[in-house]
Amino acid sequence: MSLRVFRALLALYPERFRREYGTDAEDLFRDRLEEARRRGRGHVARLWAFTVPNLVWHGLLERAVALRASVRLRVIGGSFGSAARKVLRSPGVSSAIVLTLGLGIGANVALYSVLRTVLIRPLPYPEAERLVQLWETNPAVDDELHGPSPWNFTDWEATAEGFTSMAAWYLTSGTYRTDRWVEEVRSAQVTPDFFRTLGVEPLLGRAFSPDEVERYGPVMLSHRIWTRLFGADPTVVGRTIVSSGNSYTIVGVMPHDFAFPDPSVETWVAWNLPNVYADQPEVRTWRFLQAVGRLEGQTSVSEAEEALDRVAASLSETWPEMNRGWGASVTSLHEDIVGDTRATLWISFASVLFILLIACANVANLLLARVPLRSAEVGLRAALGASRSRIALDVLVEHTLLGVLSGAIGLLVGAGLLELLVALDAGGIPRLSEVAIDRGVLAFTLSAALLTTLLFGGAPLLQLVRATRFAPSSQGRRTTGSAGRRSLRHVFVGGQLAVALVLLAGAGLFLSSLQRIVRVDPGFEPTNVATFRVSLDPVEGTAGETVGYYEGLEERLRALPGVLSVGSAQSLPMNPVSNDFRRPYRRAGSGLGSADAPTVQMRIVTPGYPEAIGMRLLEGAQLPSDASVGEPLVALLNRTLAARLYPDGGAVGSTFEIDFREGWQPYRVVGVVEDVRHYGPRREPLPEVFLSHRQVPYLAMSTAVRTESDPAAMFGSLRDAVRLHRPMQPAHAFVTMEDLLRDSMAAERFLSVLLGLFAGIGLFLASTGVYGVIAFSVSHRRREIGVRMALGADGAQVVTAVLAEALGMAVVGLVVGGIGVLGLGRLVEGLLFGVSPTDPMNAVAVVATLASVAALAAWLPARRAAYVAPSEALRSD
Amino acid sequence: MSDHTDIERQLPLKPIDFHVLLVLTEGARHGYGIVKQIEARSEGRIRLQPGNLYRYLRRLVDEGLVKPADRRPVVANAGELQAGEAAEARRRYYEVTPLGRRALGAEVDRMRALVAAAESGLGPVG
Repeated sequence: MSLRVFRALLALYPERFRREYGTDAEDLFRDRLEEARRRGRGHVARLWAFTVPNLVWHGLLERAVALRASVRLRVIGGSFGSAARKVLRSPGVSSAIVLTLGLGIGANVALYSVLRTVLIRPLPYPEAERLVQLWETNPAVDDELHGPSPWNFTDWEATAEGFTSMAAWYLTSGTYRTDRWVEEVRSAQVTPDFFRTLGVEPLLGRAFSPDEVERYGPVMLSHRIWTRLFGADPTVVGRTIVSSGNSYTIVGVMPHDFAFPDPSVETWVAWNLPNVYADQPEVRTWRFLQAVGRLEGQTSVSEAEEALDRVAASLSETWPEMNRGWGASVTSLHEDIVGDTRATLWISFASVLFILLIACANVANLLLARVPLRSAEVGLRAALGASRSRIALDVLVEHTLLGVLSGAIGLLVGAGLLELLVALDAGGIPRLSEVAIDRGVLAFTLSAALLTTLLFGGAPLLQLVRATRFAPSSQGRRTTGSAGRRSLRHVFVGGQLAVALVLLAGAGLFLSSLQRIVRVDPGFEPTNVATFRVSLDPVEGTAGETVGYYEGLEERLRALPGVLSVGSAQSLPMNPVSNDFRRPYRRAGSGLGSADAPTVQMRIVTPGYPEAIGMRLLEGAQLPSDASVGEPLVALLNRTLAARLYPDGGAVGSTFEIDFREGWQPYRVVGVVEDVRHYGPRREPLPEVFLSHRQVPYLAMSTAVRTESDPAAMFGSLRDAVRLHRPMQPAHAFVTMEDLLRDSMAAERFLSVLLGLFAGIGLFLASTGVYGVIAFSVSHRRREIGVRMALGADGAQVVTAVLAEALGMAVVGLVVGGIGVLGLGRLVEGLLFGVSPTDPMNAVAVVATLASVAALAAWLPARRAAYVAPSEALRSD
Repeated sequence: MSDHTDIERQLPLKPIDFHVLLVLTEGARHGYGIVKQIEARSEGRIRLQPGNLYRYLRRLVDEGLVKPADRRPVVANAGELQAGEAAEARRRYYEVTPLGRRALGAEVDRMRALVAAAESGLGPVG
């Protein structure tokens, strides 16, 4: 397959070159392909991304060289002048062509820039292909990748071979205070080798050195916080800042474009795992970190994985009760960051390519329609002695000029679209801020413009050259070869309809997919809920004071006008800013150890929380509002956990155990609630347990406030209430529940809007194609139609005859497009939700839409045929 | 002395021609061998593709600096042999012509003179 594509592209080179070097070039490509395949999927994509523009560009250059050998430069110069005159002489047609193609190329330029940056360009770190992410896995628990636990990571770092360095991080936030301001800042706790592993030097100051980190700190600032809070003061290095009650020395400032693990992080606090967890061996089971490693020179990802897995195996022998069954997995960091976006981007890119193809077919048809006019002129020149190659060159230069102009427009349009895409942050695509028009994009634009020229200009060029064989006709109307030209135009329109069908089918599928996602019951009531987060300092206050703080705060919020109910949880559904973690659980009396027990997602909530977000109680009661630390622990289960623990029912009143804080503890079930789609509508619910904040206090909580009307309008008064409650304690991460839910469907929304838009454009272009061909055919057959009418045919018969012509094209389009849908459908299957690519409803709707639009586009000109007067037969010609 | 004027006309060599000739003076190689060697020597900065390598070779052959080798070297790199015996057998090797060798020599002389001039201007470098 790959080699066939390569061979097809080689056709761009002159024949002599292909004869001499074609096989050699193919061999070289095969070698490179094998090498790329050995190195992984990204490398194959990258090889293609380099090879295709390279072949197009050099193929055309080589042709130019070959041409220069036979035609003098002066001739091309002359051609160019006359081409420019011709382009200017019909400004309407020329600008229609240039704008149509310019828009098509522009959309391609924008998507290609994104694709190139996100998928193909390495991450912005030195030798980024050596960066990998490290995971723990346990097939007995689930088939997911788990972040490593602090102790396991520490042992990996000390013993695993094949890595030059490793680092772990954990996303958190800190309350930063000076005399003048207080602000909650997104922060990452990172092990000392973090910056060395990524290979990025600070802009100011230095990276952490391992021996300076005792427990937490010093701290590295992001460029953003440095300019925002310190006015970009270069003397900031060495000063002390206070975060959540701890003092840290500032060791440096990172460059502007450093955004790891994500752009929201504004400070990096050094973290010494062995010291922090020195007297907590059980932390070996807390798998909550994220870890990155840099591979040594020749180590491949799979070799590194084997090495790490060996370490994990020996760790599970040493710590069987905590590590049994846990192995290690290594994945490419690029893949982890890009991940799900890959499919979205390829689908978007494919659809803009389709649009460009349809646009090319339209332009080709426009030029073909002008062939009879032009062939008079061309025939005359041939009669006057111009050689065919000279005429062909003139036309080619004219087409190339149109193509290059379109490319220039396309570049402008592309840059504009790109701005828009970045500004809207559409579809939740990672690395969008890195996207820029660079040399590769320029080369792509040029290649696209030249390929477009070949696509739209090839057929008209051949037709015109053929026209030189015949003598000029005075009117340029009855030139021979028009039948061939007409069927060629039919082929183009059939092709347009086929491509439009594929786009329509795609748009239909993603739209019904989105509809089904929207209809998924999230398990709670997201309308009119405002949420925000408060993170108390870990250094001050007792557990009782933590409980008191949140109870007092909720009391104060409930008293605000417009507030219906209030509750807090350490992790809100779909909220990326939260402390989401899971712990092992077991039935009462089960002897399972922590390593073997299944895990449950932990939700620590205040008593008002289930009501505030509108969760539904299935049986039993809510968490009591007066539970306290000394009393037996109570728990609320979600439906999934209740079904796992008590498949035969009878959950309420039973007791089970969770390994949390003080080891295995019994919890009494007070009630069961409906499943909440905590990770978005697409992910199946996991087992969840809701514990009372009064019994297991937690420092950082997200508060949900149900309001009477627009929750976003309440943010100001909520913020004020938090400030009044404790002046130096800020609230942050204000967002409404509906926005969180909408964000969780960003990719689906993006694809359905984009494909819907493209399908609309494709349908419009294809229908103008149908219209053009039928209108042209009717105007050319006036005489024939007139004769028929004179012989007694009625209007309806004439219209039917004309429509039959359109029907032929539509059938071809539907059949070819249908095959395309079946082929491409399998590729998008994984992205769809609750709808199959061969969904009959979708197929019927799509075919009906396309057929009726095509019929309308054909009927408008066909109707005119019915009004042809029989006398036309005599008048015409 | 038509050879001499031929060489004069080639100078200065394009960087890519210089690299190709340099690789081929170490022995005849096929396309992939040339590409890998240049990649290694330029520390990955020059990555030739099938689309352009053979254009450069075509030009060098036309200019008489390089020619397809009459017979293949007996020993190839073990790594290169893995690609498959059949493909290996029909693979074409290129070698540098005497004219190419002289052109490379002349270019090296030219560069040496430049380096000397630069060093005398800068004083001891490094």
